[in-house]
Amino acid sequence: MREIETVAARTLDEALDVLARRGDGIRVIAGGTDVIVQELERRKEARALLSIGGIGALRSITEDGGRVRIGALVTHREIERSPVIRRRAPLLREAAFIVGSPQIKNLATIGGNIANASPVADSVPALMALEATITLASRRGERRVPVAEFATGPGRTVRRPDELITEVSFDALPPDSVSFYERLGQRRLLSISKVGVAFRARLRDGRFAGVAVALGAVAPTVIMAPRTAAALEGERYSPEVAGRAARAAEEESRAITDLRSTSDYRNRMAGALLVRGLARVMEGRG
Amino acid sequence: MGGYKYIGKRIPRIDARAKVDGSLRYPSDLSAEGMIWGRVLRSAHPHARILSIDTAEAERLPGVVAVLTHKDVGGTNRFGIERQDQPVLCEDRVRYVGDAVALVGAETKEIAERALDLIRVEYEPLTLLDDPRAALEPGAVRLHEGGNVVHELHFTRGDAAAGFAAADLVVERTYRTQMMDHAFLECEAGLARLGDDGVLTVECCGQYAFRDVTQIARALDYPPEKIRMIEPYTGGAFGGKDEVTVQIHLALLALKTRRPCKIWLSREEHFISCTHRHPVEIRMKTGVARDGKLVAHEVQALQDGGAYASLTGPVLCLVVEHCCGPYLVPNLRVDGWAVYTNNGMSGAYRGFGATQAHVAMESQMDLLARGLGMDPLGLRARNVIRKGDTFGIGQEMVMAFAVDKTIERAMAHPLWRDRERIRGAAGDGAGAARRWKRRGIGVATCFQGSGLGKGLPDYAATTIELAGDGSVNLFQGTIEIGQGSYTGLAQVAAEILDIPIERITFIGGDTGRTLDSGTTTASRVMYAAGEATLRAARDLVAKMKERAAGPMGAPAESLAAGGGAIVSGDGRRSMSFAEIAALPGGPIRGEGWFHIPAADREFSMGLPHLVFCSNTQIVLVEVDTLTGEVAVLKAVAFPDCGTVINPINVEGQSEGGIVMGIGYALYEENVLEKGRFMNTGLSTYIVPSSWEAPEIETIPVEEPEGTGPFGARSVAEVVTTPTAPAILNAIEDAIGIRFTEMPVTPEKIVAALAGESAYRRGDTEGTEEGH
Repeated sequence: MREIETVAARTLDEALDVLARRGDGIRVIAGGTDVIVQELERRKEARALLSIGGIGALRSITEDGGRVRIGALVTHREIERSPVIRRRAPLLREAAFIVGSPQIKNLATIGGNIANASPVADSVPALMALEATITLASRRGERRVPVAEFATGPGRTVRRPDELITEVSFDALPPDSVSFYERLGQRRLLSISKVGVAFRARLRDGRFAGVAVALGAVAPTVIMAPRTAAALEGERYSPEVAGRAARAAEEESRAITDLRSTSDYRNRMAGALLVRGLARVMEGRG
Repeated sequence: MGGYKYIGKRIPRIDARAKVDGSLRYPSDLSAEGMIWGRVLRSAHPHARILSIDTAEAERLPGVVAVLTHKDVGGTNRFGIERQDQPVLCEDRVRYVGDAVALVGAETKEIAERALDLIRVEYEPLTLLDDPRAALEPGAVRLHEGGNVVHELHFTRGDAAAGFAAADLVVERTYRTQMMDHAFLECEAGLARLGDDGVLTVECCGQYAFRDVTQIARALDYPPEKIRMIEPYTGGAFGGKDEVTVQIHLALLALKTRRPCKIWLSREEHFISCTHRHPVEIRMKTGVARDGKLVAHEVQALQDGGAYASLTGPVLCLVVEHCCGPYLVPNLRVDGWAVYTNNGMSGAYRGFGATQAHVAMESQMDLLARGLGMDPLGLRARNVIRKGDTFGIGQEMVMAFAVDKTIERAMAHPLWRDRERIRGAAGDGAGAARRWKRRGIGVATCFQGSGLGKGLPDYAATTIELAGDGSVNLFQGTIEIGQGSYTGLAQVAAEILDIPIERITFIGGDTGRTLDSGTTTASRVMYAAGEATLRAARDLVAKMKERAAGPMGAPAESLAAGGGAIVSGDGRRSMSFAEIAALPGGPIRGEGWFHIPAADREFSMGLPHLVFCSNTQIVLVEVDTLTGEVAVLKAVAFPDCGTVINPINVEGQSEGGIVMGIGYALYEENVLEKGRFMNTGLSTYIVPSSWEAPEIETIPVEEPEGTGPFGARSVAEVVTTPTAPAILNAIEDAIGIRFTEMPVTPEKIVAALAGESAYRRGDTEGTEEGH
């Protein structure tokens, strides 16, 4: 049992000041659904915590000129219930739905899910398939990083100690788009994903265009699956086409065996979930 | 059921309101002024010698009140229900990772936890014994003085070899059942305090308050008459709180510090220290004649008991007693061994060995039916035990038993009758899922003894006292662990006394106020405590009639209880219970006791039973061949439990039992590697949630048993036993693959389908209808 100093920031400026002064020695906490567990289990041992949960400016979802912006403190519950997300990025809504329980979704933030850099994070494959960008702010200014380049390994990211994630944004999906997030856990809900597949594409004359596929829980970080996407690009949907892409996804998946599943199963499911998701959005029911 | 006011009625739980509004205090809710927190230092190794324990630094930590080791224990320092081989605090050796090495009492829970880190224990690791097979080998490291065998049992009836020679079909498989956690809601907790009079009061979770007194007294050498256990409301148990958990540690801390003391285990500590459901490897060879009659059965069971005995021996007895299922087999050979290992601890768990035996036997029955091309229920019906039969290892069925009727009802149920059509509707019969979803329907039957069995004291007793206002106080020593028995028992009393349930105040599980009524285990409470309560209520009525006879001017025999009064035969005169309570002559108290009938001959500890319940279940599963996921869509249960006292309680038991069985078949397993628990939280130890619960229908088969209250028997264990084998059978029905190792995870299913996932086979293929 340890005692941890906690500093609460009320504004973004305050938070950035604290990070500028002592970014190396302080850990950011928002909803706390990852941080508290890690600290209790001593997987991480912070000397101090910077609580940013009270920064109102980071709590909104907006759509402006075709760009959807989600503040870092928007919760999974808010994403799940947002009409903008429902219309503009349904796959992200599906990913937010599957996370934890209502209690966890009411606390857990999108910024936290990204910052935690877990390969099993559910929102991240959806954001990567959306080619989303993270905004990092510091006293030195702002910079933007594609979500796909943010995590460098489990729990490791390109965020510098004085930086704070303030926003994630992406282009709204055009009306002729199809998308999904499919995942498997050890039970249907209230479980950590064993494998997750996010997909988005446009349909032009019945053919897939601009396909993006991201795979969760099958590598040290969430990964893009370009060969899988290429197998679908320009094709008309058929179960055979889906099956070919699924085999590419299996090959791009590089899963490990742990307590929750086996590498063989996870690799295969990267393909199986692609089949299931495509059948759902292209055939209805799945 | 004819003419009853309370029996058979859907009466809400008498404790429901207090549980819902939070006013009922569970053991973990308790606190006291000046209370300290206790924490247990668990072993760092699954098997090691303790060279030294240094508590000096921990003792110096401000806020630490006491750091106790085996040196502070006055008595035997041992506990265990069947034999006392488990140390309260280890002296020189640890045998599993949950072993208690030291005990801290501190002003706060946090200080206590910090103190644990400051206790220095020097260990010398010893050879690990984590394979039950290796435990039997001659050169194996010995975990206890008497060797590694906790108990072994060998029975033969008839001539198995001759039986197999005459059989038309023989099926042989080895089944492996896994270690399973009870996963009750409330982790082990309690509060102890020492009075100025030397009376030690322990309010605690548990399943048998009176035995806990004995265990504390023996281990600590404290006079049992100065120990009072209060454990009426426990937040779930399922057998997992039958053995001592926190009781002796609480008592020791309170005695040594003279401060009120609380212990509440974390989920992680619970997982590593508690008793689990035994993993059992069961090899079965079963022969059948072409006409479907079982002719020979050979069974070898190897049960991993873990580090200490607890109830491992008696559980093996029940594996053996139930190894033929509820079927007649003329030629039998059964050999069972239960051994010590360093794999945690196992002990009592709902089903108590019968569950493991039925996983194997009910799988065998399905394989035989398939091999003979017979209806699986038809094969079972052909072989079931009926009243008057001698069966299994030589038990006699002399009491009410209706397993045959549960099978007949199941055969007539639409889920079974229309199974071809229902199977064909996989994936809701449309859409892409149709390509990879396969439905299967499976059945399983089971039976189980009620009570502790031959040779063990198995009685129940109830006291009912008339209060001044004409209401009654009902004193019962068993424990409400969520099963609803206090409500059922109150209904029995209400029926005899003819007063509303609200006029009964229930006082449960308190050694200072209630009589010893035996364990809250073994499917015995509603049957035994129910009959004792019925007799106590009758005794109270008789005594009220005697008291009222003079003032009413009528002989006692002419009076009867009715509407909260004693009424004359002609109905003209009556005297209310309150008026009777005001008459001179002192308190009026009725007492009733009951001994569970036992067999004449004892085979082994607790063997055999004489009173039995049974149950048949049908389950509908849908297997996703793409992902290996199994969804249980529907379950129908036909419990044979005698007269139903309260349908809500029977349905509740049935629904909970089925969901627990789904966990057993598909999700749950304590994973150990080299004696260490790998999944010690509910995020890695996966129990089914409401999403995994199917539509459940419970159709009781009421075959009254004359010795039980209003014909009731019990239901607590048979409700869960058939579910897992029924699911295994349904999976084979769906995809043609027989699984013999549980849990059947999606990983195992996908591996068994070996590259045949739907898109690999080519996606254009449609559903094959049925099998």
